[in-house]
Amino acid sequence: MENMLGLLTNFLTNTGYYMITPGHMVMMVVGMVFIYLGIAKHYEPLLLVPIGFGILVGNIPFFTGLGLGIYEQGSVLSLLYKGVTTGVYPALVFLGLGAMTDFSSLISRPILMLLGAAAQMGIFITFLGALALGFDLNQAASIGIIGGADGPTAIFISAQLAPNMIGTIAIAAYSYMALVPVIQPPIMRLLTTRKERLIRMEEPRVVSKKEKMIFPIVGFIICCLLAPAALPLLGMLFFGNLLKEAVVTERLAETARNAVIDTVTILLGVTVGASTQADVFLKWDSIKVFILGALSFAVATASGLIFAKIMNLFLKDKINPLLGAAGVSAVPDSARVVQVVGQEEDPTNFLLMHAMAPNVSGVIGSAIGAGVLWSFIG
Amino acid sequence: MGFDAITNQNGWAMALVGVSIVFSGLLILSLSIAQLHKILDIWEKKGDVYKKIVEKREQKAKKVQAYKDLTVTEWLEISVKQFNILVQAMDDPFALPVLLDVAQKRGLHRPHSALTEFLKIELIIPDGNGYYRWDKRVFRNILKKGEGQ
Repeated sequence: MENMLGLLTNFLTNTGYYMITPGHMVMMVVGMVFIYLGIAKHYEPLLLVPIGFGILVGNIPFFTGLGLGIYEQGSVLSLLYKGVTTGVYPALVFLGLGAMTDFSSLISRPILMLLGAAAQMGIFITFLGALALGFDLNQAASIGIIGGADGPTAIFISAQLAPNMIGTIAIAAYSYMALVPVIQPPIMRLLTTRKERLIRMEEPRVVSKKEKMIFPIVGFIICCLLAPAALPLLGMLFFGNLLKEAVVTERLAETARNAVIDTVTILLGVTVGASTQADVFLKWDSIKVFILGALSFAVATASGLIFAKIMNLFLKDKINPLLGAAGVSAVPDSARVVQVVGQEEDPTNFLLMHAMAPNVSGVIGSAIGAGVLWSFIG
Repeated sequence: MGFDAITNQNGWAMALVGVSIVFSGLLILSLSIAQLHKILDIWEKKGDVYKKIVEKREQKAKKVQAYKDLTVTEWLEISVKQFNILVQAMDDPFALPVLLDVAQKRGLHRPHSALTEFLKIELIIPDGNGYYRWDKRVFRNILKKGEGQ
């Protein structure tokens, strides 16, 4: 009898119910909020649902030494997490992204690419902000990439420079990416006049198939010669796009934009979520990262808008400055936000296809920015 | 902490250079892509350009051959000289019917046949706007060939 009682006591003290701490509970609530936002509010559901569930997985308390936790050598979660820490998942996400993206709008009006460059100011101002708040160079560079609004790039660069911060940075980046429809519109309305928001864009010219096929090769060579550190990300992005545009490799493109990216998104989301264990995540530094993340999104959006207004001083055919907000590389969310804010003023003004140009150039710009910071510090 | 931390870690320079590199990269890409369709247009029309060059060469070869085959008869030599005098008195380029009219009025021998022959040997060449020009080089060559024969 005593033996049975001992076994039962031993079992009960080994359960999560016994070991759970307030920190775990807070993180579980955070995980549930992510799942709620994904399912009920449709904010980036493909990312927030796996990340939210990953947070639940990562915050079930257990005895260390059983080989269960994501930070324990040889555990299933740690093996899956290697895709994050080695930078494999972000590169594969870029492959799928390239195979999905149509660069026509950007090829037809390349000048809009500069808006994608302007929005990258968010990266460098956040980098400075992080340094000012006491983070070291590696951490500051990783935090800065949140301003690129590019989750995979933020994870990639954190894995290289500040592996202990991957979870925090990824959660901050994806949270703000999901909140693009909430964060951007007030800034867009504040920095533009009604007259500017009503500007109609010229119809883009038709882009030939040959141009679309040559673009990924030219883009890859120009960008990667300039910032070779961006090779894993931009190489995969342009390669994926070449598979899409080459027509003869449609089967590979189909796999990249469906099976590959879906599998990687699941693994990336769950493992990044699971990496946010309460003892690792609930720190003052995480709060600072979230504050800097919000700042970086605001700065990136404002930089794009202001640069568009500056361009209008010199351009004969004015561009709608709202497009500047799409330079934030949350694809295609920020382009959609531009469309929504533009249509609030004029329901017959369709800005989406124009906004895709700065949007995809923002992806290229943030990868170059990440490569540049990595080469400065790495 | 603060601005000192940025300065101590060379943050200002990194941010400034970083932004400049991102801008330069996308600017170069943007300029290159802006030229892409123009380069492709030239590339696609390369067949037409080659065709034009071949046509021009063939025309030249034909002209040389026609000139080699040409027998400068006494009638042709006289006609060429007479028409040369008429053309000098006319506007350049001139209207072919006007030249024919003048030649008939002056009583030149077989003016229709002469003009047909001149067009064949490209002594008279169309200017593309409905008028014609007198090719002085061909005129001199005919006279030279006539002397040789």
